[in-house]
Amino acid sequence: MKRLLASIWESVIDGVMDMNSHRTRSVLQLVGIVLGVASVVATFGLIDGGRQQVMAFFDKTGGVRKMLVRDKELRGVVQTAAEKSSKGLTYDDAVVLAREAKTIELVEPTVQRNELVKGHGYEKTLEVSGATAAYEHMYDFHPAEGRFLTAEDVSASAKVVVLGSNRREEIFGARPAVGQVLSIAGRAYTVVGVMQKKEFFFNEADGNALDWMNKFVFVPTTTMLNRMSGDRAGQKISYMNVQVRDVKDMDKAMEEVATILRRTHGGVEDVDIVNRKARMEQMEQQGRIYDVTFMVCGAISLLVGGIVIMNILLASFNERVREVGTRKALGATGLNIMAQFLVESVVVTLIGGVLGVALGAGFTRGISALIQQPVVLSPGMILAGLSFSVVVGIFFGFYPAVKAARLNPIQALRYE
Amino acid sequence: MTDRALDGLALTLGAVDVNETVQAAPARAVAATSGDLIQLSAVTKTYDAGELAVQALRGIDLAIGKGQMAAIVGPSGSGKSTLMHILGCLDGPTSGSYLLEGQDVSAMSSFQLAGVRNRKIGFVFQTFNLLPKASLLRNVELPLLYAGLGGAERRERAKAALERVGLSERAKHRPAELSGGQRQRAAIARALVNAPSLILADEPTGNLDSKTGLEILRIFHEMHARGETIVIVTHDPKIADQCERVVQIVDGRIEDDRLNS
Repeated sequence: MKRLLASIWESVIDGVMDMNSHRTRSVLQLVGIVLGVASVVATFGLIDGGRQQVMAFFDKTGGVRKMLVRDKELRGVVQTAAEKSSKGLTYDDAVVLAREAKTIELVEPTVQRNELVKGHGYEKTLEVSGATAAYEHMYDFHPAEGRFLTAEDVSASAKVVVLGSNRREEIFGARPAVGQVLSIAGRAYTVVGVMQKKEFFFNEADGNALDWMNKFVFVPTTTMLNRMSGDRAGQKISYMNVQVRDVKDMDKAMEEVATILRRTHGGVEDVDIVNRKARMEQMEQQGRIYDVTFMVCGAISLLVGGIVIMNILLASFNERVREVGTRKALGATGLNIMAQFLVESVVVTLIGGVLGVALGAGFTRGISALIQQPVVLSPGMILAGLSFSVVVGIFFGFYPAVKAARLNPIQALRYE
Repeated sequence: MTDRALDGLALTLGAVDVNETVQAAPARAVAATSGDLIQLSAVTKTYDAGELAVQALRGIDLAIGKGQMAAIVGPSGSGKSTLMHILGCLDGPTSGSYLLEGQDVSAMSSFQLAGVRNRKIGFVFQTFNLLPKASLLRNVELPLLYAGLGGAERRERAKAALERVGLSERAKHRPAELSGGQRQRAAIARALVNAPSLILADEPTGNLDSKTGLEILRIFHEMHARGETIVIVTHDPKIADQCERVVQIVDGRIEDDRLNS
């Protein structure tokens, strides 16, 4: 075993020496592999970079456990009596869901309406959002000053407001905000908190993709319904977000939510449940199509690289026949010769792989600078690039190696 | 058709005539003893060239003692190259036995033969057959590499072998930077480096001018004086005359086997 390892090591030295002595040949052999590995590394770097960003964006906006429940637009001219009597999503639906649905962790009913916000020299009609205490946890979005809305605020329909960081800036500037009073739709609301700044950049040029979250004006949903709306009995909400306990139970949760809402709506199916997981899976599938496409392209370029290697090995084969004969006369076994040839082609492809990874990393850097999108170079990808090149080396080196190992020493020595 | 097949065809056509000559004069200069390095008995070699079976060797009995310097001579197509290949364990006989240092090598696998070549035989070729891109040192190390020796010991022994042929100054040079005589000396160093039982030289002076050829021959004489066993295959009578023993092959048989006085 030790002798075998030693002889393989010697083959490596032999192989490197031989490469060194046939520089042009070796460079030609390298080109195909370098470009093949580089293109694989570059494309996967870009794809992975994009995918990781989408995942991060999803995480920052409620994660995959979130689903959206909203009114369905009823179509058709004829509506049944039950359909006519159903009011669509109400605050009560949210209360029932939170109480009854076992698969659901958080329910966040919201109402959005434009109201006049006034005070401290500021006056502007802004979108005001109704929220509950659940919002903070669902979006992992926390106050920087003061506090967020609490369950008590919600149950008391308290006249309190929490501002997004941009809104605080607009209204109060550098002055303290918490404890101040703002007029919303003509009533006095106490500012109890200011949210952290939320940021996410797909690329620098497009700006903060989550800036809309910094423009929130939150008041309790119940306050919106009971103190601002004319239709108090209706308790109509704009939509609600629901967070599932376990992402594996997504299908079950959708079923449960649909069943409960069908009951509260008198048997009418007038809500849509939009599942984020389904959207993710769709994206995953698209991603997989890209993966396969680029994998095939990469495989083709590696194949071409491999064929170039085999071609050059075979073309230079004849000039090495005498050498093989000599080595055999000096005591090299067929195995020694085969190892020598294989190691040589693996050394070539491995060097090609290393250069290819470097070049591919350079490509991705360049492209990422150009389109201003981060890229990912995972260790797994580098390893994959290198092992691909070794496999190509062994695969395409095999035939010439076996051919050399099988040479009859006498005929090989006579070869002119 | 290959050269080998043509050689054999010539042999087949002339077969009857030769048979009688050999039986009439069975020349045997040196009797086989148990101390012999090489013992060939009734060795034949038949090449299968398509429809024609070509007999290159037709029953060779030959014993070469340790420390002998023998020349194998014969016209081209006589079978002397085939004999050399068998002596060098590059090929096995079709029938008959070959004992090398008492070990029967005639039925060995090609893997085993590689080991025997490595340990017991040092080859010197007409065309030197040095690896062109490797230094002399690396070239001389090659048999030790296949013997599985460590790097330090290889280098040491290779340097010693180069010194024996007077090339220690040139250890780092490549073959192309040397004269033909120097190249052949390097090849001799390579043949010696494994301390083989037998040095087998195939027309070692064939590619050299006569002055350089004599120089190479002098090295062989020195080696002989130190007790090495040397077999030189040649068609040059001047070389053969300098060897202590001359074995002449004609048409696949030993026609003459004499000691030079």
